[in-house]
Amino acid sequence: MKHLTSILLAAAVCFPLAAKHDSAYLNKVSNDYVTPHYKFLNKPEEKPLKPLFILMRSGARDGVEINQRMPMDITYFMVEGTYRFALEDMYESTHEGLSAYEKERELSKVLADDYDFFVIGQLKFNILPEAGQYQILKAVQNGKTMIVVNMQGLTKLPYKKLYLKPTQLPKELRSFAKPNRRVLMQAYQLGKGKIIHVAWNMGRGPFDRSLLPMLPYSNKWKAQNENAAAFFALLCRYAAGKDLKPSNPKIRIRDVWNKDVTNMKNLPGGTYYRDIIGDNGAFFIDTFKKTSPVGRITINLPETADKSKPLSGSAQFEIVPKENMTATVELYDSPHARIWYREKIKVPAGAEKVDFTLKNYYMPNIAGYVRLTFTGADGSQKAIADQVVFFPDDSVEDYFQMGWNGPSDSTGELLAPQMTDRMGWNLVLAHPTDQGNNARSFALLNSKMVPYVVRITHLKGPDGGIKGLWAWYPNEIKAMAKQIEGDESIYRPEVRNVWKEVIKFRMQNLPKYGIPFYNLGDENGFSYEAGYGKSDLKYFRIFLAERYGNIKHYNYNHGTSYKSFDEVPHLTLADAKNSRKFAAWRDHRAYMEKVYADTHSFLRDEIRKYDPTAKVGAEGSVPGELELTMGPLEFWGPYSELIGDELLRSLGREKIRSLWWGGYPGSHGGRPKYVGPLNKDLLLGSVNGNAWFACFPGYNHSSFGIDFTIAKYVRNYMPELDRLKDGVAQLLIRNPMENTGNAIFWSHASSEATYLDKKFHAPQDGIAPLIYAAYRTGYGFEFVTEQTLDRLKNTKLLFLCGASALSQKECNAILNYVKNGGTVIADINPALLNEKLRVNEKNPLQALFGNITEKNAKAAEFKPLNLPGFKAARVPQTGKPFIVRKYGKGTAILCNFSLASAANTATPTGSFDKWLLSLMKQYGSAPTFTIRNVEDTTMARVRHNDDFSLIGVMQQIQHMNKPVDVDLNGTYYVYEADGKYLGRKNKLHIEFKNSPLQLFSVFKKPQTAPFFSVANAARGKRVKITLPTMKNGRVYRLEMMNADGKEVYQAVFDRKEIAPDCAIAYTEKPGKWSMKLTDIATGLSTTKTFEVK
Amino acid sequence: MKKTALFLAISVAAAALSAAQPQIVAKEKKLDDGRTTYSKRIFLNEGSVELVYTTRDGVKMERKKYGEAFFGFRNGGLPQFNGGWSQWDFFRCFEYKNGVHNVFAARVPKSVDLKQVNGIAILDLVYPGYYTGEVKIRMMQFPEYKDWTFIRVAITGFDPWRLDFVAYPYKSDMPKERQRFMRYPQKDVEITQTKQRHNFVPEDPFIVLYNKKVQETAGNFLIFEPEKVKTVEGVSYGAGSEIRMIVQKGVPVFHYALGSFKNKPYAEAINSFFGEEGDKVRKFMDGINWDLKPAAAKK
Repeated sequence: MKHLTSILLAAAVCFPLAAKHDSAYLNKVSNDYVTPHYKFLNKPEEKPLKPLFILMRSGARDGVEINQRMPMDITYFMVEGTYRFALEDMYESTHEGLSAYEKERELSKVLADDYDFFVIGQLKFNILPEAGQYQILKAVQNGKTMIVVNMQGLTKLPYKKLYLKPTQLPKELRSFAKPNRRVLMQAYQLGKGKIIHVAWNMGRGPFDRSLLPMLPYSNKWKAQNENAAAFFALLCRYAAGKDLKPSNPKIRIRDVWNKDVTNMKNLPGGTYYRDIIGDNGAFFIDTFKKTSPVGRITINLPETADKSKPLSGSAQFEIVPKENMTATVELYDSPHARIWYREKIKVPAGAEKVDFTLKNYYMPNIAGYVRLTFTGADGSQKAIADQVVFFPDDSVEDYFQMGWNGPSDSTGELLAPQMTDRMGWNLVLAHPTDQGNNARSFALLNSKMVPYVVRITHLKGPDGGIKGLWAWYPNEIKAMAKQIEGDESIYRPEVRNVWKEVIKFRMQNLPKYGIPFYNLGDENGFSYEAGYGKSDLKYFRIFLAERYGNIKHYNYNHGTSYKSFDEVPHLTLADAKNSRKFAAWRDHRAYMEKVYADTHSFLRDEIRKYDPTAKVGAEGSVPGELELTMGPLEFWGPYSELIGDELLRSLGREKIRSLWWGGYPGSHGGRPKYVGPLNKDLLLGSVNGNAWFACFPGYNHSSFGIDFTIAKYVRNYMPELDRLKDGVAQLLIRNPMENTGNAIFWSHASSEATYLDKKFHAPQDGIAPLIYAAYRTGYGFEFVTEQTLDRLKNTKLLFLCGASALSQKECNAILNYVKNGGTVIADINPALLNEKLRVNEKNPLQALFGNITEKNAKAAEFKPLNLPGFKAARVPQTGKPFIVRKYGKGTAILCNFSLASAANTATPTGSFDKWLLSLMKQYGSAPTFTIRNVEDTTMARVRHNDDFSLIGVMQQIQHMNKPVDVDLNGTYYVYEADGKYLGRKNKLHIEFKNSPLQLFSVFKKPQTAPFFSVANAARGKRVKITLPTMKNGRVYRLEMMNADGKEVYQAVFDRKEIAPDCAIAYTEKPGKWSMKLTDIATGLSTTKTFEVK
Repeated sequence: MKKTALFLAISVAAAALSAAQPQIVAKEKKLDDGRTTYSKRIFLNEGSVELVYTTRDGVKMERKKYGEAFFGFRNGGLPQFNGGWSQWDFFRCFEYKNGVHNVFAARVPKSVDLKQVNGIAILDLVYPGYYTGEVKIRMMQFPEYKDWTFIRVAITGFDPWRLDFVAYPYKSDMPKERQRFMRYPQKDVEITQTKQRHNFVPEDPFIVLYNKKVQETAGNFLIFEPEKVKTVEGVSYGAGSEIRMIVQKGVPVFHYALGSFKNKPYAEAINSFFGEEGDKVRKFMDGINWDLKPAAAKK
């Protein structure tokens, strides 16, 4: 993820270092984002209270929550954290106004004003500058009140003299309904003023609230949050010296689900809140209870259910009903509370329980509640009970969207509408908390958790062994890990036992909530220098036995004469390298790669013991030997760099793939005006999801402001992010990249050999210019490796760059490929070594490139190159630039120069690309379309579907004013993807007005709007839709709008398995609804209206 | 048998006196070893506090055998049985310093004062702390809530660690079939000794102790302030049921309401306690003027 070079490059290109970021999302609070709430003032006050709220910034939203209920004239001042006034690190410092100096000035300015009272929210008072502390305390002594709020425990100021005179708070505050009865309050008289401490005592979250409590999320959260905010508002009135007794009050009754039930004649059994709202600004919430005639109702339901099957349960009465009743069984989703199922069941007097079965029900969310409402013969409700049920769904959307952290108990229903519903980021990466409680809360908020299960770091311990990271686990596991510390090879049974305990601990309850995939770590990595621990010799020798098969083979590769592997020494890397024992050097590195890969694989298997269909992987991690590491895994994120990303695209196309980007203030693309990294990664095909770092308000990488608005820089991105989410990303993901027969050979062993001798050229050096040329010219290519040699069947032109170490199997396949008519182009010096890095006496590809050997090969020198269009290159020997040999039906071309250096010196610009295109034309692998007028950094990628071709062109943001031309080499009907019809054309002139990524679908035949039909529907029933014939890659978007024209459903699909499945909720209005089907490739759409009864 | 007869005699006497004015019936017995046993039966409006303590110096409790120290509350049980709040040891206050010390078992009261104001029975007990400070207990019974006893515990000079209430719902025998249960609004748990002790962080102010299988028609209600309690532990120790509350540090004052039910199926009794009845009592408790003085009351 954080490859230094790419970070620096990206930063240099995309991020104007001189300018500072707008810090409003970390430092300012607006009332713009309104959440559902009740009013506690009958009319606005002529002179609203004027407090100063000094808050830990992550919980600033609480101020807005309180203000929504009782408007005040609040001045806000933010501190960075509970224990930190201001942060000055490389990220925070890129923001304007956040340095300690600037914050001190801001506070001094703020304190110059006069306030009715002060609120200190979830911060240590003495982190404020001393002058500020003095000013506030002086104001208190002169008659003002200061409220100090802590989430957990009363944290008093470190000045004992402030607390000499305890005083009683009025009954209106003590008896006020609070979220629960855990709240501690203490008040003290200081001079003429007061200090009031409030501790909610309800736990702390991953990112805290500052004024209101962290409430475990459930369907009762809304009422609790309402009560907490109203309580705090009344506390503010008290602090300002206002009357707390409501005069001429109006009464409103709410139930525990925060529904207004004032007008219900007879309330069913349960707890209620009576809002007593006076015309003098004072108010009170009184909790009261109604006794249920049937006592406790126990609903027996499975905790999890398969939504494709009926759901059966029963409700047991503690006191049998004395009259006949009717039970209304309903299923509603969480958190939206849309009712999808309703059925009435008769309950005779004297019944001890009611059985029920929900058949053919619809449930779009991960969790819902089954609710039973019991109504008496007089029609009034007697009792209500409900029970949560989870409908785990571990599927991963074609284009998934994941945020690092997100809606939780801390933010309840305040952040979820922004992140999950608005942005569509419904996957949340987070460390699992005790018993998987946060996975449960995520599920209740309709987000799927991607658990950060472990992190794999194989560092070098003090004795040379492997040392890992165990700090995240409980003490019992840490104690176990202490026993193996520094000798942590995964092959040791003791090490496996520790990992097993880790997985057991971290997996608690997770599968219940439908985990889309499990993350074995971010920035996993290992040191090649490790692996020399006490136990490693044994496992190293076992590894060698597997690697070589027998000692004879080992001796052949190493020039030794051992009788068994027990005699083989474990040389240090330095010793092996210095004594030119290449194979021994490589053996140890291969051992470490295997340990690393096997650790991932072992942990995947352990996870599968708890979740048999689990998809497991890691992201942003060092690959080791990529194919080996990611082989058994379902998920992999690159440690991003050009070749690694393309390897992943080509070799891991079935994997779930993502790359963190997003809120990095000064790296990973920074924060330009347009979406850079994600558009690029989707266009290039290296990812199939959006992974946004990070989502917790108050963090300087966050997508959300401290008031939970979407940060301004993210709002800039939204048109592009929406375009991707609404079908364009799926179009890119679901259609295969052009493959006209160009392939690049990837040899991990060759890339390893580079470290040993200058004669062994780095494959990366030659491959990189080929990839850049592919981006500029639009040609497609795939990688061929030892494990994917069958790809040679469809290859016409194979590039062999720096392939100095090839196995006999690879050489045979290449020989065979050429013999059968293929063309191979190699640069210096192919096949000097075998895959174990044994020096070949004779070159196994002699028939193609001559007998180049380690002895006769020379290190390349930079010399003029006698080739039109190229100035110079690193050349190993004198002679012609190309040596062309025929072999069988095919051709082998040895470039007697380094491709990389030739590409760098090509003149005029484009010579290298032209040369490659001419070769492709000559050997039948030329790209379909001709891309012209490109910049060095232009990226053009072409995908093909049976129906159409998809041309994607991206300019760097600084080059968006430079158009690109495409010759279509034929006449096509051209459409903007999810846009408009452009006409019948043989050329495209592409401009980059609103996005650096432009996408066009070109068809041989004209297209029509998609045909579909929808039948009239009824609430509580599924909607019957007839869709057009579906084909992979022909992506559609279906949107359903309710009677008010509001979109209530959207699906993006291209196949039956994910075809739309929607229903009308009972909570919706009947009337005229509509549905719109859009063909994303063409942008053509059809809208149908239908009646909902 | 002897013990049972004594209980019965006490019960009858208590029933006869319960309608009378609050009064203290005190006895004093000098023991041969220099200690003195003080017995005080303190009749409130309803039921009585049974205070027995043996001391040599008037400060330290020196109990050598059964019967020399009780801090019981005889109230709300079935008249024919010894159940209800513990008649021997209904309330404990522990200090955790160099060991665990129950103040009421280790120290004797400094003062015992009973009065009635406007029909409200008020009992004030003051105990010294184990090392320092003191514990002041005020018990109040109001005519409008005659089934309830309201208690304020004010502690100065030390931090209490744990406060316990002990009851013998229905009676103190030990039939094998009986299951002791504790219920709070979120959960219903068996606390029979063989089962694991049950710990929870309280969110609501209501706890019920009752029985299942047999002796189902009597039990005890407790209303408390959950914000002042870190965790509650329910345990059945011997024949009794105990509510043990580890309290928040730095909290000096606690309020309780003690009630009970009898001759009623537990489901109905609990349903109304968790419903309107308990809520009414809780609100009443929130509004009590705990510092009621005779002079103020006369105005």
